[in-house]
Amino acid sequence: MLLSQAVGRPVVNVTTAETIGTVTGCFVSGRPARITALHLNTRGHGGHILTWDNVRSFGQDAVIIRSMEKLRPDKHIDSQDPAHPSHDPIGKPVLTETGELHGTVEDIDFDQQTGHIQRLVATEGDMPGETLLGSGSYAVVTSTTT
Amino acid sequence: MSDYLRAREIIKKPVVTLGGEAVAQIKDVVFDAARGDIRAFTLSGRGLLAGPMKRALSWKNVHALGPDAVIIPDETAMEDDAGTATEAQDGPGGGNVLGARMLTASGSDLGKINDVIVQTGKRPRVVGYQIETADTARQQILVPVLKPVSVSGEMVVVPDATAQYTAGDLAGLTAAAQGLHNRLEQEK
Repeated sequence: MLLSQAVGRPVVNVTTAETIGTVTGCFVSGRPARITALHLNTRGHGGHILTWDNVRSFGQDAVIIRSMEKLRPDKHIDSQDPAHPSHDPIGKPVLTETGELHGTVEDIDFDQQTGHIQRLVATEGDMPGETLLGSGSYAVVTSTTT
Repeated sequence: MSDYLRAREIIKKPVVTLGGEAVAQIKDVVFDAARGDIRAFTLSGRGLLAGPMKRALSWKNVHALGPDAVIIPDETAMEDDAGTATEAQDGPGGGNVLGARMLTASGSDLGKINDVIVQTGKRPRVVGYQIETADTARQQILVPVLKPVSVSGEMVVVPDATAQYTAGDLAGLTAAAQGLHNRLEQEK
């Protein structure tokens, strides 16, 4: 599914049956290309980071988690941390590993079961997910060999 | 991957890790006068308040050189002591390739080198020089360099045939280099 479709989806704590917030973005890593964490907007508490392994189920209508304990407030995250908001890949320039710009990231197509990234949607054309090498505060870097 | 870049155009380009972090920008290019090659880059920090960094980037640690960025594997590719990468500058034949004269092996002066042409990609290498011709026209021409006969900070000596294979722009350099290559093969 596309990340743009996941944004706004409620996040529900299955233990207490409460909606704790909504998905606002994600963090990714390369080799293998996957979603590492989700950025949530939690009601009255600002933003939180939820790592992918704490997602119990990424459902059609809601993202299910088991407990609140694993949520990390984003205020306490160091700017060097891969889960810092500056590492959100959406809108970042796509830079190939040979140093050429290739538009900006518009969307991410991922598998909601595994978090595996299938496709990067960029302004200058789509790229297979496996080309993703890394995502930082400056750019999303892709390999040129597919 | 046969795109060419002038060495001067590399200055100010961001240095980006494969992880997508911009860790520095290129401040200057350090030439290896003994080999007519690029030895290293000196770096400066990014941003308005950033000054020069006490770190350098060796040519051999560059993952790829592109039109929009210099890519390095990770931050450890930069060396802490800028001296190790740049020391040979003052070594034998020291100085800079820029400003040196280009002379053919039989002794004609082709002109003054004012830039170095680098092939981009994963194995960046020096493919030629931009020279200002020695005659009164003072044209800017590009000269492919496959195997310089010898190089010093004062001059670069190239095979005689080089003078016949020059190009007016970067697009023409590929053909010129190919022509020179074939010619040098025949002469063997």
